[in-house]
Amino acid sequence: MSSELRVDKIVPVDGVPTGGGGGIIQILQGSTNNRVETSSQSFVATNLSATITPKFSTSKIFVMVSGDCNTNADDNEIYITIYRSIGGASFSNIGNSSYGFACARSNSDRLHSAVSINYLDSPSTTSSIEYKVYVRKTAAGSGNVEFPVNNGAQHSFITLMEVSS
Amino acid sequence: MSELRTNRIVPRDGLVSGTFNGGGIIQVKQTVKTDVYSESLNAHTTASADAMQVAITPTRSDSKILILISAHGSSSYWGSTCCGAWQGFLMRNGSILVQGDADGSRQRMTMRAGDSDSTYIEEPLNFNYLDSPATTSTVTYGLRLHNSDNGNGKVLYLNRSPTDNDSVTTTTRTVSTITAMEVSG
Repeated sequence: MSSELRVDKIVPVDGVPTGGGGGIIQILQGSTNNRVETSSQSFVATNLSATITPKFSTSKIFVMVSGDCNTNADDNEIYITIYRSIGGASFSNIGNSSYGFACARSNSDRLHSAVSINYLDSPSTTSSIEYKVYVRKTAAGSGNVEFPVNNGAQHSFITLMEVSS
Repeated sequence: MSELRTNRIVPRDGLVSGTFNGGGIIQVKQTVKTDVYSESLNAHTTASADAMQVAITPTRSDSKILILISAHGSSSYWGSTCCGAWQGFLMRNGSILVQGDADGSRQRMTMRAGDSDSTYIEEPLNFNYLDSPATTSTVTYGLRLHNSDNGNGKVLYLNRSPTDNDSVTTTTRTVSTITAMEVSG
């Protein structure tokens, strides 16, 4: 039989570094290849989300988003952010209210761009937390922006890690 | 509540040998950069300072450090003649940590996003690397930008569009992060 260590918190012997965290207690992942297309200039929900329930209110949640997006037309710009809902409450943006965390843009032709966001969140709760990716288009350009690029093909991922603190 | 205080986590049968293998994660540090970094660079030169950094103090000298970079920014090349790109080096304590193999006069880099001969492109720079610093002293990892353009005075930006008029339509402020995780070695 393999050995198994069951523990709720992992910290270095001398304590958690200031502003950081200790070991990782649990990991969850969500994915989607169900594309959202939008011309909205307000953030709209994509189909990429994952839910985690922290063991401790002091824990941090390391949120990793990876995938791709499509500006889809000349001069279009897509903003990408992360929303969270604690205990089933309404979603709120944990990035910049206008710009989110990331963007992609080309002023000539469409751009298929990688998406990468790594963020260490401090939600201060033991209730379930759903993290969801939202996107929006700016007023520039025309038509829709898309996340992820190809509907029903390549997946985008969101990975949640509970970090002891 | 159970709490494990330890400086090393490994599988019961030990780690698989090899440079790029590790065990459990002991600690996590992250720098979240929300303000703008910019530097004007002459042709084919590297910035004088890191655009963002994270410092971590390994608890053991045999630990590895997993570095995760998610950077957003742009260059002022767009509309110029040749051959701008948004690119950079992963640095450790001010020295290049890893880059592509030498091949003639080709520019060796750690990471590179879109090329922009004549087009304004904004897209992320992403890079993940498992380092073996072999120390218990504080180690500082950074992202350092490089001007690949033939022209002087090209500006590289972190968290900013190349154009910067006050418009929510055409200009941005984004977030970049650099994360360090101590992995048991």
